Amino acid sequence: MNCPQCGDALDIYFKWTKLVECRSCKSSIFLSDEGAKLIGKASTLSPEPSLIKLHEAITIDNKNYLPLGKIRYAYGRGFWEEWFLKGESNQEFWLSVDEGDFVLEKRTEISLPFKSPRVVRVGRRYGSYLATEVGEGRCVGFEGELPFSINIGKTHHYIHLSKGGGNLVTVEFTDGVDKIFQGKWIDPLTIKSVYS
Amino acid sequence: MSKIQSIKCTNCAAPLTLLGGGRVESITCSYCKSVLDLNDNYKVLSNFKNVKMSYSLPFEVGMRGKLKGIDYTIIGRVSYKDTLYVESTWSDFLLFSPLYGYAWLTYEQGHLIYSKRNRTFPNLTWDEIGNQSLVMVDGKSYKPYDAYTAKITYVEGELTWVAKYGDKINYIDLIAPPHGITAENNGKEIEFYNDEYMDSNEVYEAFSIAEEKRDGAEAFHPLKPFKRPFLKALSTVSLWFMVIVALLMMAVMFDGSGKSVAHFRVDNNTSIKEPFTLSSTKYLTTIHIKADSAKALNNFNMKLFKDEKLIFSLTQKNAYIFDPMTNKVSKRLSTWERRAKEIMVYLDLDKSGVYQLLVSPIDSAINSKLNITVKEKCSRVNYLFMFGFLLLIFYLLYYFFVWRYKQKLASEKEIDSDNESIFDGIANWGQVIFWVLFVIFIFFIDGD
Repeated sequence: MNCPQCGDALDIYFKWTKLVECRSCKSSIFLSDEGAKLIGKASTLSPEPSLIKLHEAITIDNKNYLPLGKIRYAYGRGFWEEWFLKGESNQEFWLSVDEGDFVLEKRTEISLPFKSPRVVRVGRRYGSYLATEVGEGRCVGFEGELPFSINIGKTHHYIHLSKGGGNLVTVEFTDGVDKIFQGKWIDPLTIKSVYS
Repeated sequence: MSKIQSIKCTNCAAPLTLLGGGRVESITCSYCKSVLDLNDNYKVLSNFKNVKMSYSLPFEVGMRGKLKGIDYTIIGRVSYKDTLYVESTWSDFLLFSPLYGYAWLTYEQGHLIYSKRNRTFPNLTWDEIGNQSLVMVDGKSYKPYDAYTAKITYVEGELTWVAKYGDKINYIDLIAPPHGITAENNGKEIEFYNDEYMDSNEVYEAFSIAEEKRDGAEAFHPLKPFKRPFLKALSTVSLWFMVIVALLMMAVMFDGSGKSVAHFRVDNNTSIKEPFTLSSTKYLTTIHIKADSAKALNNFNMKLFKDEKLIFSLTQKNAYIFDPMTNKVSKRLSTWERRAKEIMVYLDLDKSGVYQLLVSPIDSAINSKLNITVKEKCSRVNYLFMFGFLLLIFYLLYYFFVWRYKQKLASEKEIDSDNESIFDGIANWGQVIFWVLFVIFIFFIDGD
C-alpha cells in the first residue's frame, strides 16, 4: 500500500492497523476497506529519550514485542506515551511510559464494580480494586501505526485501579466510550532490546 | 508556535535551572530560598530563607552519577526530622533520569539508601500494614519495623510536589536487610518505595564526592546488612574441619579402644610383681587402678620395670619416669588426688615385650584391695577434642555476632509483631545444637 500524498510505500506491520504515519511525508493516513485516505499532516513529536524505539523489538519477561506506534499525551508540564506493541501471537498490547513508570496492558472486557468511571475517586476501594489515579491528558500526536484513529488535541480521561501486587486495570473514557485495559506494572530494568 | 521563556525566580529574579522532568511541581530558588509553584506561573508558595542547615552534606543539587546502571542527576533535596526523636534527622535527595524516571537517595548519618517507587505492594490500608507480622512483596517477606512521623525542615531544588516547612508525613518502614519498603502517607495518598542499603563508597565514587566530604556510617541502621565475611568464612571452614576431626576421633577411638594384657588383684598383705607382654606400642598403654576407698588407693606404691630396669614409679605423693639407661628421673609427673578411688595411668611405652608391674602396700595394717587392669593400644583423643572444641568456638563466633545483631535490631524495633524470634535468619541454628550435643557426648566418652 502506498501513501496517497507522496506515493511512497507505507510500512504496515499489523493486520488491523487503522492509522499510519507516512515515514516520508509525515502524512496521517486512515486505512479503511476502501483503501488509504489522507486525513492530514501528523504533528511531529519532539524527540525525547526513550527506552523504546519504533520497530526495534523488545523483550519483557521473556516475551517478545514489536513497538509499532505511539501516542503522546500532554499533562501539566510533562507528557506520557502509550506505545502500541504487537505481541508474539499478533496480539495488541499497550505499554504506557510515564517518566520511568511502565505499565504493560491488554484490552479486556471485564465488569467493574461501578456504573461509570466518572464517579471513581482516588483512594477509595471499589470491590477488590483500589483507585490509585484519576487523570487526563491531551493527545498531542502519534508516530508509526495504530489500530484505531485518534483525535489530536482531544482530552483523554483515565482511571487506574490497583488490584495489588502490581496488577492494574486502566479505564479510559473519552467521547463516552469506555475502554478497559488490564496488565501489570513493569520494572524498566527488565525491558531488554531483542537485538542488543 | 511555542514560545521560549527564560525562567526567573518571581521573588528575586534570579535565573532558575530546571533539571527534572514533567512531574516537577515546585522549585526552590537557590538565592532567595523561595518555593515556587511550577503549575501556577512560578507563584511563591513559601520561603526557606530563615531556615539554615547547621551541617553540610556530601551531595548537592546538580550532581550527576550512575547508580544501579542508571544515569541520575540530583534535582532536589528535602530534609526531615522525626517528630518524636528530634535528634533523628535525614535528607532525601531526589534523583532524575529521563529514561528511568525518579528515585531517591537518602542520607542518614553516613548511611545511604537508594529508593524507587514500588507498585506491587498488596492492597492494604495504613492500619493493616502496621498490624502485619510479615508482608510479602515480589516474593520477598518484609517485617514491619518502625512507624513514625517526620516533618520537613529544609527544601532545596526541584520536587515532584510542593513541600513546605513543617509539613508532616507519616511513615511505616518494613525491612528485609539490605532491602526494605517505606510506606509514606502524606494525608492525601499512600506511596510505597523499594529501599536498598547502599555501599557508601560505591555511591560516593558514582557521584565523584571528594574524599574529605565522605562520611563513614558508624551508627546502627536497620537496613544495613550484617556482614562479617571473615568470621563467616571461618565458621564455614571450622564446620568442615569439625566434621573431619569428629570422623578422625571416631576412627582413633575405634582403632585404639584397647586390648587387655593383664588383670590382677592386690591387697594389703603382699606385694605383687605381675608380668605382662605388650605386643604393640601403637597408641598408649593404660593401667587402670580401682579401689574401694581413697584410703585404700593411697595405701599402695606402684613401679613398672622393663628388663629389670625401673622405668616408672607412682605413689600418691609423686610420679616419675626414669631413663632406663641412667636409672635417673627423666620426667616428673603429677599424681592423683587424695580423694580419688580410681585412677587411669596413660603411658607412652616405646618398646614391646615383657614388663613387670610391682604393686606394694605401704601399710599392711590398712585393709585395702586394688583391682588392676593393664591395656595396650589405648587411644587418647584429648588433643583432637581440644582442637574440635576450638573449632566449635570459631564456628559459633559468627553466629554469636549474628545473634547480637538480631538483638540490636529487635531492641531498636518500634512495631511489635507476632511470631518472631531474635534467632530468625540463623539457618544453621540446628547445626549449633547438634555440635554442642556432640561435644558434650565426646566429653562424656573421654571424661576419664
